[in-house]
Amino acid sequence: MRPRGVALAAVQRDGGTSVEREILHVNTDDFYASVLRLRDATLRGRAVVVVGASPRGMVFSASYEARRDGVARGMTASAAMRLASRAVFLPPDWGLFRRASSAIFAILRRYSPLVESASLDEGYVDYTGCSRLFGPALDTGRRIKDEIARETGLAVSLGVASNKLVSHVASRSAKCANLVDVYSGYERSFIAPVPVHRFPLVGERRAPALCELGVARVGDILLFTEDIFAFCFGAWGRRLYRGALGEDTAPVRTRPAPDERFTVEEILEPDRIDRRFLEGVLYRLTERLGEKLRAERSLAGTVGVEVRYADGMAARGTGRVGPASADNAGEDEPAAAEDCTLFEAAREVFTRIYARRVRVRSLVLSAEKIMPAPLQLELFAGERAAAAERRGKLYAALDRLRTAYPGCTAPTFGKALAARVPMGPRHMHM
Amino acid sequence: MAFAYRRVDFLLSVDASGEVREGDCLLLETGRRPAEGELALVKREKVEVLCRWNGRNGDEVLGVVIGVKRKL
Repeated sequence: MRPRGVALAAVQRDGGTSVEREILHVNTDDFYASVLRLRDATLRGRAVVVVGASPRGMVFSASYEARRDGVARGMTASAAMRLASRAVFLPPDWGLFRRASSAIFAILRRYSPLVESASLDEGYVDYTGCSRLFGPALDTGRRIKDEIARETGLAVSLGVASNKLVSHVASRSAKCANLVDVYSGYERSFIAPVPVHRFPLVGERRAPALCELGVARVGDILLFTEDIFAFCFGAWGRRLYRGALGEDTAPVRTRPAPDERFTVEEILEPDRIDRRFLEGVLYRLTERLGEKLRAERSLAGTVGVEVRYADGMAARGTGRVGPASADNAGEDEPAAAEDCTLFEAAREVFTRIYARRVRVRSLVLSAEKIMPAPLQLELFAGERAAAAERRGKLYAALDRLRTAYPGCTAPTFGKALAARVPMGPRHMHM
Repeated sequence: MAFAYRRVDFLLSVDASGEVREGDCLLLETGRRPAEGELALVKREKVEVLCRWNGRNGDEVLGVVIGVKRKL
């Protein structure tokens, strides 16, 4: 067992039945550059910058060597080339990144069934109660690191704490290839000296607002009261205050990684801000996604939309396909592979997450909760089934035409034309 | 709050009875007196000792152990 603070130890001496939470945050060191180095050994020791495919693409990731030259994520490729002229600039290989990420998470699932993927290169493991099976978290961290190094060739840093927030901060301070274990009861002391711009709940974008209040470090937040923070920043302020106390009750949620077969992306040339155009792009993506789903005889239960802005920030959300209504109450979860149904769900998510007045660089659409399309015909097929059959024939015909005539000449719905026709001046104010 | 790091040597690892190992790095919170039962690094007769604090007179508190950093 990990050593713990006296307060918790007292609770357990009193016969408390609560089990101490143990959360591991696993963070792959220099993930994107390291994966590319596995593919090409000549990159070892050299500065590597992963940039978008186009010349005006943004820097997606920079190796530690490139960061020392001043290259940062979100920078344009041309600016990065000026700073690090000797660096190797490579396009992202998403297939390779996803395979490496899947291998890492498969190793983590050997130690706990509760594994949450925060991104391709980092995730949380709920290790609560698992120390009885695998030993202390410190020793397990060592085994995880060894297995990942042996099976994938990648290095990881780990943070162990009683909640997700503090374990995240711990793994950052553990860079590189170290493990930091924060004892239970000392979370507040541990995060107090962390600069606010490096605190997971704040980030670079929100840090200036806190600096205006004279808050430079997380511990400074506690000089105020929770109500003042809630008054200034709303629900986020209250959450931040609780975070500064080292409290975080968020559970580790197991989310299946998006299936790369059912993920489509479009990089915009140039970056766009007009909502109508972006919805047109979204419809075009929906058509591509629907075609993939129908080709695999699959249905999507939810769709995920990711908006990547020109300044490197991104927003992501998911929505159900065809929300449950009284008509299908008691039936299975609704799922679809039809463009129009997928688009309605995707547009709803897009409207919710596209909240910044910043140009958009790319849109990513993914189908989740994939299930096989039913082969069983309905016995009492009504109007609804007949309409669905007609739509099915229409989409099958469209898929055949799009396969035969790919590109701009393929037939499409009017909604997608907004992204094809140059926008007039009256649309530019959006 | 002030912090300090202290590399664990062989003698300290023996004191800690398995809680930390030789080569680990202790995260110490300095500038406060430990509460009863807290793991603390103290100076006892010119020798640094890792112990559960019991308010013993004559010990100089070097810091309360709030975590450990281990090279993987």
